[in-house]
Amino acid sequence: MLRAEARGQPLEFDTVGLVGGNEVFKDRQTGTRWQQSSLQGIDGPLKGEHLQLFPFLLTNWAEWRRLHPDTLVLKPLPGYAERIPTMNAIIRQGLSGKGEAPDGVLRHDDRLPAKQMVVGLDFRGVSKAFPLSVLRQARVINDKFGIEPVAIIHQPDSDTTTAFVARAKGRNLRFRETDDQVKELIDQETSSRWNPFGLCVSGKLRGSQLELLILEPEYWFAWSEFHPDTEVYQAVPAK
Amino acid sequence: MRRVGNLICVLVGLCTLAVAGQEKSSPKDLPYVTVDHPEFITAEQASFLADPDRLIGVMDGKTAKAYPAAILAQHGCVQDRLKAGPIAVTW
Repeated sequence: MLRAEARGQPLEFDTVGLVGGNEVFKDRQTGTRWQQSSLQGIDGPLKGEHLQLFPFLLTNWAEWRRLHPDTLVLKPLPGYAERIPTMNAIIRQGLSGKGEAPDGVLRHDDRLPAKQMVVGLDFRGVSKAFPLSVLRQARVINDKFGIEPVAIIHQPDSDTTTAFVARAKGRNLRFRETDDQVKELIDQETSSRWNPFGLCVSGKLRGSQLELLILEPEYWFAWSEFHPDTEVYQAVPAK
Repeated sequence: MRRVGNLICVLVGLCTLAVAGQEKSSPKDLPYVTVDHPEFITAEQASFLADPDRLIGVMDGKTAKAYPAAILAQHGCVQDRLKAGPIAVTW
């Protein structure tokens, strides 16, 4: 999910192929080619520029409709609706973590299986990958990027991951879930209660909204290919 | 996730070839191209969606918009224009 602009100029993109195992877009306005995983212009007039992410949530229909009963839904173009059930089955299969990297991947990083799904986060000069398999177990991760406290929250029933700067009113916060499905969290510092979208719903910090961080869900082979310095979050046994 | 789009296209292409001989209607070759002018329907009209189906959701001001993964994966990119500016929804 990208802001479709660079240097203040709106851009429109077409998919033009792959570099390594990752898609490349070409914009119609300048002819620059952009690498999806690194968000970087790789050749053309805007080479070296970076596209910006736009905030989004990767989730499932049940969770999104619960959050937004009046949501609009993209209408399939004529002919494309027929393939939706097949596509959904393939997409679910993709969450399993099984399978090989595609041919042409530029570098292999064997710290994780190639098709393990990860959510990647670039923040404060640190790149880190959180494997989906670890998120499903840990559910709430109190982490640091440099000196910044970061909370990663995973709701297992819908495989929905959110991330925030874990600081409100100048206080660094650590969170734990109050229920298995992580519908509510409590911070250790003030015992205030929070929803998994960073909003404080009761207690001393009620009404505070944590700063949202934008996660990038990808296969490990694609994330590691274009984030060679990435760290991999390792589960810590005791919370 | 992002690479999955191409893989899916290949797989669906193969599946389509495999079943083409058995289908009465001639299968259309649906191009893997950007959607430039997205249209939207209500949640009630989106009968093709089931609870576990993946999607990308965004907020356009106070309006929620859902881009089902099963559509995105057939196009690679959907261009849309939000109050906050132009976006490219990719898969």
